[in-house]
Amino acid sequence: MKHPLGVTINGVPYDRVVESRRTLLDFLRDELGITGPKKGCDAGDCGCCMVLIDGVPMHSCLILAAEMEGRQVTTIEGLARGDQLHPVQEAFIRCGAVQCGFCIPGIIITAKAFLEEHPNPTTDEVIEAISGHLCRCTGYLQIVDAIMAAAEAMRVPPQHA
Amino acid sequence: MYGFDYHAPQSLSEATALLAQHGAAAKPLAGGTDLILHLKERRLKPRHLVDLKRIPGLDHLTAEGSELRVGAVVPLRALERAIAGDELLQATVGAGLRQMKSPTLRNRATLGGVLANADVTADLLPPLLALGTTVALHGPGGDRVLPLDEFLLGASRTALGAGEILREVTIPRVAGGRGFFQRLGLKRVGGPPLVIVAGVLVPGPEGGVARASLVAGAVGPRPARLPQVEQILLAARPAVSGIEQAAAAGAGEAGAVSDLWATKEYRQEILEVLLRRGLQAALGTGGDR
Ligand SMILES: Cc1cc2nc3c(=O)[nH]c(=O)nc-3n(C[C@H](O)[C@H](O)[C@H](O)COP(=O)(O)OP(=O)(O)OC[C@H]3O[C@@H](n4cnc5c(N)ncnc54)[C@H](O)[C@@H]3O)c2cc1C
Ligand code: FES
Ligand code: FES
Repeated sequence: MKHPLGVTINGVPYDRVVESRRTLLDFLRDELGITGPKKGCDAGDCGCCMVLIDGVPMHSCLILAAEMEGRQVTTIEGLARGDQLHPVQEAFIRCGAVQCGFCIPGIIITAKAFLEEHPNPTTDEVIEAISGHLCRCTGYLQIVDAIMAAAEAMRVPPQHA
Repeated sequence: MYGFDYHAPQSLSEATALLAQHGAAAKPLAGGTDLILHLKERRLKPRHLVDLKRIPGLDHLTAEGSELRVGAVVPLRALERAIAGDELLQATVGAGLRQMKSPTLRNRATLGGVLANADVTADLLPPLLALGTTVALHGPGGDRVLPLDEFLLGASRTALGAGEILREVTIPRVAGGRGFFQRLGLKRVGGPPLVIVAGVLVPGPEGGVARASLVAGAVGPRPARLPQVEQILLAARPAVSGIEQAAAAGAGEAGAVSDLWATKEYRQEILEVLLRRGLQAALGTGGDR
């Protein structure tokens, strides 16, 4: 069965027709060419496919595209403002938290939503928050450091205001 | 993924009509964290998925007075937030919720989905049973309300009839109750639980307890109350003097079974330890950790 689908992705409205069985992850990657969200396990285990749905991080591999009617989806591609990377992205680069990078778009999505709710987290809270993400490269330490650094950057009001 | 038709009914009657029309070929869809995985793995092959999330009146969460009423499609994350300030619910439901890895999965998975799944190893079931949770079902024949204890029939089996959906879950707030949740898993983080024990105790006169409700989970085909343990605690004065006897009785009466992960004897021994720890914590005797 096919469904008309109106969904906003990274601020851009899309009107498409999707098959019932198309997952949100496959829709983003294969139909729209939005390849930031990665297919690691396709089963809810690795977190590489994480996107924000109305601001809440969710596994796009376990969601049908057809369920997204009227929703706002944000992927890693939607975090920067023009040339200005999001503070979480900046912190990941500064702290050397990225190796192969496959897991990073998902972790940054989760970290962004987490920091907006917990501006002053402890290291343990950060570890718990990203516990649904697997990274085969970094050993997680720099990732946790980067999220702590991003928290600090997000707490400091912008200089130019 | 296996092919199916997705439906997004806008009312309860439309949903039940779809489910009735397609019978065994249709499945309700809530968070999809379990169902969509099953479809990918072709372990289930429904021809129709009936999404419950667009139906008004299934996503409410009210925490007034003596109970918490939770719509079936409320995500676990919202339940977690709603009970944040409640000591008893934190010690029971909250502790069970936090075992569900990962935290991001709890943004999507729903309370109705956990109950309808009736997974033997679900960490949330023993605490909900101990609190005296009830469920409201809606089907072609109308509405009915069941204690969760009667809703759960066995491993992955519930009282849900053809075309019936779980509409609402009511969790009582037990006044003055003290609760606990204890668990031993196969791994320190994640992995299936080998034994779960949850309990709710209401202190009574002479250092005794006026109400005791103890549930063991993950040891047999479904989580079950431990009436002998409860009787021992209700009779003991003070209640703490009954802990040793109660813990020993619990090990015998829980109907522990052997499986791939643990033997029956191992489960019984762990159950005794966890019961003792939980009761000591809830009855305020400190206890070993
Ligand atoms: C990585 C991963 C880890 C997991 N870890 C855990 C864990 O630690 N503990 C645990 O318990 N589970 C776990 N699960 C399983 C699953 O996420 C949970 O059981 C979840 O609560 C299911 O909820 P849902 O809303 O996603 O249900 P869905 O997947 O939408 O539905 C599950 C089943 O219930 C039925 N159903 C759903 N809602 C209703 C309703 N209102 N009325 C009637 N039938 C209904 C569906 O038809 C389906 O058969 C895990 C899953 C994944 C992918
Ligand atoms: S691809 Fe979705 S969790 Fe791994
Ligand atoms: S950087 Fe390679 S998987 Fe995380």
